[in-house]
Amino acid sequence: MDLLEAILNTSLRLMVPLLLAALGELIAERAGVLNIGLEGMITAGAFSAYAAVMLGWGWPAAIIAALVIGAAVAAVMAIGAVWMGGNQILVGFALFILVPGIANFLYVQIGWTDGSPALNTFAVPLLSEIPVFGPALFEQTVFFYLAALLAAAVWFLFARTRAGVVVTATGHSPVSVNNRGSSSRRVRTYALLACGALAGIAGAAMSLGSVGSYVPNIVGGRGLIVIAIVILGRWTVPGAVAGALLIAVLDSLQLNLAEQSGIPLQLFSTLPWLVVIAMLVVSARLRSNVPRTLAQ
Amino acid sequence: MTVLTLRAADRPERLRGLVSGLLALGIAVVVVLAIVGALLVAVDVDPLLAAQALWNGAFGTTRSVGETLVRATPLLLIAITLIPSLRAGLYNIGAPGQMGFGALAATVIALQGAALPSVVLVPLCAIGGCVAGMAAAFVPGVLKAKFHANEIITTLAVNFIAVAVLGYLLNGALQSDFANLPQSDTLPESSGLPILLTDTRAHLGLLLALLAVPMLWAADRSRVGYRLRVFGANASLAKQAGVRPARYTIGLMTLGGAGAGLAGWMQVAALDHRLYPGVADPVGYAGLFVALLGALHPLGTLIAAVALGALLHGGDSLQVGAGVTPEIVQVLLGLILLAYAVRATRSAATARATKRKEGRSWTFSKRS
Repeated sequence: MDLLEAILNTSLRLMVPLLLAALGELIAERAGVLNIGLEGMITAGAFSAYAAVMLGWGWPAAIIAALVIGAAVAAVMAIGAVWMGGNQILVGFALFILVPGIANFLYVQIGWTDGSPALNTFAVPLLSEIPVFGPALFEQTVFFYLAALLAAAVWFLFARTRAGVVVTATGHSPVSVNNRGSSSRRVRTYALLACGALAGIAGAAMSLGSVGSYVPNIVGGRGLIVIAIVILGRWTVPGAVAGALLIAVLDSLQLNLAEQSGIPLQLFSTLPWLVVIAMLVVSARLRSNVPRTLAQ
Repeated sequence: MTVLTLRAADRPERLRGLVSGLLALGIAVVVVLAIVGALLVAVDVDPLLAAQALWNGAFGTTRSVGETLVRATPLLLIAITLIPSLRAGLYNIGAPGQMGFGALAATVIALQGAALPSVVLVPLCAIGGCVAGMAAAFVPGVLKAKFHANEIITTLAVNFIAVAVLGYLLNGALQSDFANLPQSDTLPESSGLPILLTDTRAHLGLLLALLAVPMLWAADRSRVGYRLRVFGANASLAKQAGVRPARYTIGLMTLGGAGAGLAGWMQVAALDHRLYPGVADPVGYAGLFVALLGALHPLGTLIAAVALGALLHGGDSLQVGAGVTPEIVQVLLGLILLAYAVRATRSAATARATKRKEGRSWTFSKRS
């Protein structure tokens, strides 16, 4: 029972950054932008949140800094891929290389070595007393509640609002959006900025929430895992939640089980990637609501 | 239309491709240097001092020129084998993983066949590394052709899997008895490559890489090369003309792994003489950059390989020369790619629709 509780708890904790980033990527891809640069945006958020804490701004300001810097990286992507008509995939890949490079450079060159104190968890009274599920669901850092709130908000955006419909329409047919008098470029830019902001918060959730510090290559390819999560989730919010949870459970199995089972740690770390490949293969068979102009 | 004009427009188009590639290189260098300079000033480093250290590190002595060539060798090999797939719009970014598997295969063969004479062992290691690299690229190729799995994500997944597999083997079965670090035993002398230039580490592999340049040039003019261009320009038309897209996709992806596999073999056989988890780190994704910056042209690629080789090696000497961490080179590479990416056309469809640079459209076609 202890093990189950531990796995559940770590899974939900590890899910938070994945879910936040997946929500962002979902918005961008719905608008027709395959954002390979997501990794860079998460890294930007992770580093700027850490930098803000080291500069003594306090963590609310750190989250806002992560949000702004993440969106700034997304603005580079928007200028390059949407407004200048560059190759979406290459611009994204450039950010994938560039932003972690800048973050690592500044981290080493400035020479901060201290960690920030880890964020306190916030227990919801009464509800956190529930056995097994209570601590996992109601005794988490602020990022967990933020992610849950934002997931609901993004679901509402696409299911119930006009703006959500316009974003989806842009992904399927930018020409008809333009004909209707809106600007598909502007919609894609806003979608990318939202994506960058969410990815920035995801980065803050990694550096402040999980690790308590920035370390080089903190994101470690999770940006790409998130893209696979969005694909498997078939570009829906519930799908993204389920995908993020699946990867998080695999990660937490690695943390919790590797010690006890005979399977070496290194082989466990290939598991998410194998699942990602399997996800891509399976989702290719299912694909129906893929944004029709994705990556064009 | 496009297909018919391909052959006629071939020669001037290629020259223009080279010129525009060189022009892009020039513009990129200026813009990128300005940004990097600003970044260096921000952390209180004199950019001129850093530039001087970079230049001295790359070209200052015979030895450093040799090191630059050592870095350029795998870049050139990887880039040349990647070019055909890039022309068809396939982004195989699995070079680090394919290098890792190539190095692994070469190491295992060298350690097992230590008793064999050099004439047998060296080619055996080369073939082993090459085949392993191709196998690591074959799997994403099949997934792409048969299941439409995005090759960018699958090749990257293979990179992470390669790191995990190397980490596992080097902490267990392959770990040297004399090392606490995850690294293999030293490779036997007989698996080493002869040195090409005295006083440097530039090895026979450089010759192999240089040989690949005219090979690509010749392949471009062959029947297969022509079919490839048709395939890259318009896959559905090529299909009607009897080209089988699935087979070409798998073939091109697999070919892309060959250079990386050979590069992995060279890294262990000629330079490090032992396997370690970060064996692909010195080169990493830079092979792809070389191919793109060289405008997918054999000669342009050669120039880009030497330039990036100098950058990578010069970057390593920055720490000593100017107190700058080598991460600045990653920043530099990212900026170069960004400067390049914003001017690459979005897709074959877009380029055709706007009648812009029609002949070039096959270069960066990306079908969704």
